[in-house]
Amino acid sequence: MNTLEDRIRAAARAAAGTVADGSAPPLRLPQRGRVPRWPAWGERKSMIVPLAAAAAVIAVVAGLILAVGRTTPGGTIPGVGPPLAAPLPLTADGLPAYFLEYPIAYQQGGAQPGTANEGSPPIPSRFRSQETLRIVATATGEVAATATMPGYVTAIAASRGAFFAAVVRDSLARFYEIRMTSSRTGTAVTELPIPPDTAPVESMAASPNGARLAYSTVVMHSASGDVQNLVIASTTEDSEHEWTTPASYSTGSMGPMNFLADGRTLAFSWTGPSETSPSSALRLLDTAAPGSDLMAGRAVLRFANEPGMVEGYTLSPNGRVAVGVASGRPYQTVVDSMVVSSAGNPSRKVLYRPSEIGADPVNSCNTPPLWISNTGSQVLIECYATASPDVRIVLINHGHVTQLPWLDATANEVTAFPGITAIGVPANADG
Amino acid sequence: MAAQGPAPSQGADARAAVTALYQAHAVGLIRLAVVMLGDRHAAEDVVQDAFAGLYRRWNHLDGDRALGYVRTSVLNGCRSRLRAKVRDERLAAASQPTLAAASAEQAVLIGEEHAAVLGALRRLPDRQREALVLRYYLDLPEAEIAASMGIGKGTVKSTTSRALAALGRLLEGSR
Repeated sequence: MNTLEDRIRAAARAAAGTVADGSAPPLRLPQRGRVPRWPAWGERKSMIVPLAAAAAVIAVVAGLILAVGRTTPGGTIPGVGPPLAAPLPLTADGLPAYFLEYPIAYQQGGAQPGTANEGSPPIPSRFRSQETLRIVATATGEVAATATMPGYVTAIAASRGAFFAAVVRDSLARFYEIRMTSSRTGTAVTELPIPPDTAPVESMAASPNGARLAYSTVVMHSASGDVQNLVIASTTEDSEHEWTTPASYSTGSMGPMNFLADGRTLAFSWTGPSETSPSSALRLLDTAAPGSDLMAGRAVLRFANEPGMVEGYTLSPNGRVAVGVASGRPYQTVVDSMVVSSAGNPSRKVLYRPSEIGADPVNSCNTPPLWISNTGSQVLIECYATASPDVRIVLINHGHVTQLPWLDATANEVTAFPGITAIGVPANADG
Repeated sequence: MAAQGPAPSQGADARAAVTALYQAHAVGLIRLAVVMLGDRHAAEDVVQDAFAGLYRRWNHLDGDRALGYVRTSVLNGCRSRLRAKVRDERLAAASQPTLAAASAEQAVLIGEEHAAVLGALRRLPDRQREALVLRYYLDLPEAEIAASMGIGKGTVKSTTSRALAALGRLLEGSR
């Protein structure tokens, strides 16, 4: 008796015994957000708040995303070049003047206006023949224009001059471009010449000039593991290229993505078996290189970085800065500035650290940010108000926080800002 | 801890299923995290985070993998917390001796002998600590330890053996 093994058992049981039966606190699950879970075909994509209950640190990674794409000798990259649609304007503060919004409130509150009589039960989204997207003016929060889509929307995206939507109709995902009219009060919706996909679209991104659209399909389970496809298609002609998950990565999945400024390099979040897995990282893929291996590119930023787990990043429109929210207990965390080499090692600094109590207007933030500037000094992000369950839209400008109350109605919606990756559309309760 | 959670299925109410799994296993996992961390508050946070992660990936998982997934997440979370604590302690040794404070508090609760063993356990490398806790606290078979830690069964055996030797040396040294 009293061998080392026995001592371990006794000590562990004594420690465990300090936790009484039935003493677990209530489970706090995320309410909403932007990290996809995996729907069945025919169900709406689902996005879940990743860090709703977590405290947050905003970290900037500068100099990370170098333009790894190089022009193919003798070839052209359709994602490079002048925009197909005139760039949308900016506000006086330099923010995009308009953004696309998918109104979750329609989902949660029932049918959209015009699709059901008042008092009738909500129409499950997968049976809806149309859904309406809104284009919101950043400076006022007012709906500047709407776009009615001929089916239910599963993902949205934005280039610098246009918006895009993946729409399911007749069990096929179809792709549409949405342009604002010159008066900025109306929209023109055009179906793109991208072959309809039989697989549900998970997330989507547009190249800066709007000439290419990247979309990922949901994870499909097979005997040899999970498979996920990435498709990059031209928005002007029937031309596309597909990548797929190699068997060695079959337990992972893609998250949000966006093109870098070169229109060729695609950055995407990859989550391995867990967020702390070595493979869980922000990755870059040269989409002009031959092959179909989704993981042929390189990981540039692991999620399991200090000062805390970062589950998603937003890249700046020029692709040089990434901003994420580090979860954990930042109030107890000493934040280090990581300086590493250009071979995928970023320099990192904390932009903003919310305070749990005190005069600070927010105490935690959702990831990823809605929009960031090219330098990362300006960040538009959803945060939780101090001592309140309400989600606010705030602008972090060189570390100073300004609330934008006129955008609070957007706080529970899915958005696509020009130049920033668009993410999926959240699930509705009827899925 | 050997029971499995409800099978995730397409169309299932993930929130309800994860909540049910939490209700069935939360206390056990918090206890596991307390053994690892010696900090009830941090243990609860780790378990909450693990279930939030499970919820996010619910439709990724087979039914019989849910509990294993969340247990691995708890181990990973404990690992991160311990590293952060060590770093914090190094950087702010004079003002915030978090490990020391936690150890002192635990010593009061569970006694000096147990606190000494747990303190030494937490000084082991991650893999060794986890192997010992899974083996001697949870009494998991080698195959399940291997799955939880993401290592081979042979590695479990060798890691456990080395961990016992290292723990013995640490306890001897502390006398």
